[in-house]
Amino acid sequence: MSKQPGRGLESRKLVGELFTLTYGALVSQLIKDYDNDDEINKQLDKMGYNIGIRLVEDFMARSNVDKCQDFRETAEVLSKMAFKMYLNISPTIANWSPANDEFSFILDNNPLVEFVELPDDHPDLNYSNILCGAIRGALEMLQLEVETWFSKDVLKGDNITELRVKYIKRLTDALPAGED
Amino acid sequence: MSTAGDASSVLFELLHSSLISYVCSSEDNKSKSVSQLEAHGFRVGQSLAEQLTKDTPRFKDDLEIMKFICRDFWNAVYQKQVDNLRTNHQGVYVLQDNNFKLFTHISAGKQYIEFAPQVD
Repeated sequence: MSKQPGRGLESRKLVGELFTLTYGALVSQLIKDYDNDDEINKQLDKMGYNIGIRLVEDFMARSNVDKCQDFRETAEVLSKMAFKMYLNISPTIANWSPANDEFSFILDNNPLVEFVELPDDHPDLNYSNILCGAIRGALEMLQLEVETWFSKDVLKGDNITELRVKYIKRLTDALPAGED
Repeated sequence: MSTAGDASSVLFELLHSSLISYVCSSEDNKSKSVSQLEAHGFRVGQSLAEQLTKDTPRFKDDLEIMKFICRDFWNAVYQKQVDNLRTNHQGVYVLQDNNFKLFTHISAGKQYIEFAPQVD
């Protein structure tokens, strides 16, 4: 009992680290299993989607937000509440399209890529693609169909990481699509 | 403080379960998928342990190492300590966690028993 390691550990930071490392393990497994970057991106998106449709319930229970009035408000809630709550970041919202149906999240500080460098033989891998799927899945459960993709990624040598979100339509029937 | 209700651990649990379902679905051989999961855990655990021990003095003996695992490591990963540590004093340790976090969302029936690693 003489020494006390663990004093002042920031448990939140460690949970974040555990998350980042586990995500890295998942991506490395996918890289082993698939030769094709597009296929890996697709798998990550699908997993994100499955996480998103479950996570949104937890989000609604915690946040108590009302229905968003417009797409701009949706963007705000995603950035200031959802990203903040789960990843402890608040991406900047930028680059609205003239029709107000498309915007970007600028991720200044993406926790998923904290220890990551892309290997040279995977130039098309969207490492954080799970985020796209998660946003799409979560919004779909709220009857909002969107398209999401990474248009810029610092891992690929861009100066910023930009996640684009495009409004497609409002879903009327509340039937969730099959998980697969 | 950070209990099972912490938002970031909810996200971790969802990620963890998608890793498991992916590994189990991509690999027919059960013991192979278990060892794949173990290999991932090994890497994650190694990095975490490095982080956790970087400012601590070297451990004196294996009991100290076990104490580190039961307290600091368990706390970092599961936000609680191991409930009980037993040993036969010949190098075998048994760690008992009465409320293992990753199992709390799995029902207690027999449904998943066949997926668990077996002791032969």
